[in-house]
Amino acid sequence: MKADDLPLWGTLSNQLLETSVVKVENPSVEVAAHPHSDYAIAAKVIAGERERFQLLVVRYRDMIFAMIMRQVRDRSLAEELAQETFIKAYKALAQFQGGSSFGTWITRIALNHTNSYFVSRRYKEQVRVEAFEPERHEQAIAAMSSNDVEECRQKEDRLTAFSQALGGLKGIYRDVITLCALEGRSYEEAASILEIPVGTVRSRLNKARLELRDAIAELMPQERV
Amino acid sequence: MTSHSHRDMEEWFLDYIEGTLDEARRDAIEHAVATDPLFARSLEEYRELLTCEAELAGREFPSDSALTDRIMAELPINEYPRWSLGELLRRGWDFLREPPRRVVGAAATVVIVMLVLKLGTSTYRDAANVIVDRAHEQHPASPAQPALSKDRAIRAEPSAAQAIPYERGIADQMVEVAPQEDAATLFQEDEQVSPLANQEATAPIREESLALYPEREAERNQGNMAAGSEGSVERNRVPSLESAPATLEKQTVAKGASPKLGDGETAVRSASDDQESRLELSPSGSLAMRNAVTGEALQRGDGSQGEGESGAQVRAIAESLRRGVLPAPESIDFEGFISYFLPLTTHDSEPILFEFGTSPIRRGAKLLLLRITSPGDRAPALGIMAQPTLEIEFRSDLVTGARLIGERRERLIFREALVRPHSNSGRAVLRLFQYVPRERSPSASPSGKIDVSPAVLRIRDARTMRSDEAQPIALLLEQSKKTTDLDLPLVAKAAYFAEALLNRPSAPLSSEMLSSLLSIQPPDVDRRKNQELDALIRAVAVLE
Repeated sequence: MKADDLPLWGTLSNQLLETSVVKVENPSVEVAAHPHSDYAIAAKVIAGERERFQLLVVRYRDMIFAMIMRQVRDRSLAEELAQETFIKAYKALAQFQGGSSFGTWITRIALNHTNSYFVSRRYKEQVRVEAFEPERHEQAIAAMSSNDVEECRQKEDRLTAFSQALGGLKGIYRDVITLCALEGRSYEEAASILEIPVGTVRSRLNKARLELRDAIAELMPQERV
Repeated sequence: MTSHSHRDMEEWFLDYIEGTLDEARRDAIEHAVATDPLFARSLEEYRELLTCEAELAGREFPSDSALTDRIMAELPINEYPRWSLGELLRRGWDFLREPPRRVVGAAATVVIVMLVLKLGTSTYRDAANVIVDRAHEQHPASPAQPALSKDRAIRAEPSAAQAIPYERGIADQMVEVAPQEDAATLFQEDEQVSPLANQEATAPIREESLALYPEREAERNQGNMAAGSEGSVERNRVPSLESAPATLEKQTVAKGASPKLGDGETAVRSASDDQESRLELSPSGSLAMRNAVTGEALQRGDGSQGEGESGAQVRAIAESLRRGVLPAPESIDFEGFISYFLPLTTHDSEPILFEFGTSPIRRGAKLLLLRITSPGDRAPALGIMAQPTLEIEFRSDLVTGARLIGERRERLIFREALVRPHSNSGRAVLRLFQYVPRERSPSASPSGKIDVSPAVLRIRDARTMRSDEAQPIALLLEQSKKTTDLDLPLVAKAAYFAEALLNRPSAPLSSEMLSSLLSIQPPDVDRRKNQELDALIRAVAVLE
């Protein structure tokens, strides 16, 4: 379903929206003033047009899902976390002031939510279960259409180790890895999302990689030999 | 180059790989890679990590379109309600049409509570104002005892009005026995008492009570017009006192004890086998009630406190009194009454020694004797109350401050007391009255010390001389005439009668004793009262 397919707001809603937008005093006012902007949609949702939130979901669903998927590497879990992320965003929509884009705002929510997941008992129990499911790896390898099965196996094992090591990182390091390394965001974007200086992003990224490297080496000791 | 240095150089990996590292550091890293296999391995693993990241970043993870529907289905419905005028009207109408039960119940509860509070407060305030006004009229505050303010009275318990001393005098409580009346009927009334007291001694009490409660005067007049001996006790019963806890336990009575009154302070001890208590009343009106069992004391006025089962209650009462709050009589027992009424009456009058005891006059019935000894110029008075169903039982800890002065005899120090049985339980309830002393004669003791009038001493002397009964009676009467201007001869006669009973608890009145008592015709006494006493004596003799 495309955003354009959804019914547009009426005259009354537009007036309310414009009134709300004018009150915002920040550089994104002009962007927010667009009736199709994230802020305008959020304002309408707050005004009672709950169905408008679907526009935002459609816009950012893939981005949020992929980001979470790269961290947890589990589709059902990623969908669940993405769903919870959007519901959190919906409940906190009144706090969305339009100072940043909705994408940045909900990315921050997603990062916090996945961080909460990685420190939860639920994640620790899942890691324990995965350690006793070697067939899962075999299925993943068999599904790959690669000529070099051994290479694929090693790659998949490495990715699995990477995911496990990523889950064991501190939240601040996982955030920069996710944004800069997995999502391909620039340092500036990451700095904007995380609300930290760019230099801090770079230093955190390097430290995070060093920790990841050591963690992977512990998970795959034969690789180092 | 040490490994530590290599670790430091690892911090440059990101810049090295991105090509933003300066020349010197780049050379250092390349030199380390060439010379140190471990460092080279470290850099290699770093590069492999970047490969993994690129692998993951390059993969596509399209989301399921159904995710949108699931998200929308899970959104809270009422998170952002649409507030329009129509919506508000619709919700308001729905609320009025079917209001939630909780809201209705809460509103009703609030209304009821507010009404009760308002009504209760106004009613109680009115009652408290009347009480305090009357108290101020009758008892202006003295330095020794701060007067109760209206505000304090208002803050008191709702039943504080009932805690006002039962101000009617003993004479009012006692059934007037007409000469022609069959004295035996006296003992058939469960609630009747057969008193005999010095009318003049109790007159001030009665006057005050009537002043405080003018409506009772009319009631009393009406009651006096009624024939016989009925009614006075019933009329004067205070409901709260009737329902007061009077769980009394049988007290062990010691034999052979004798009264011992100190100078300026009266100490009486309970000579129970296992407990010993003491109540002290100082001239300044401070009361110290000690429980010798626990060795702890409660003193009023100086703040020290006692412990124990009853001590906590007395302490609470004392504390409330200090704050000017009248405790509810329902919440205090016998001991509480003592603690409560004493401070109200010590500011303008001397304490009075009360002695009361019992004597069995028939099976299941006991004669309760009450002797009132006023200090100084006041004469002893004796009240005799016969109660067919009276079973005097004093809880040992209840008679704190009592000292046995003989078998089946106890003594307490009160302002004024009337012992009467509980209507149904057969237990004794002590009622206390506010006492208003008469004006002292010039011969009164100015020290305020408690002393025993000579008449009382003579009575005791007469008891020791009972082998020759005529002699002590005459002596007593003669002595009584000299020591008081009251009806002391009559009182002495009654006292002697009481003493005779007390010292013959098990033996019936002999005909000789009866004739001796009846032969006493004190001069200058109220003839009617003398006849009443004779009727009582005859009645007791008949019962015996």
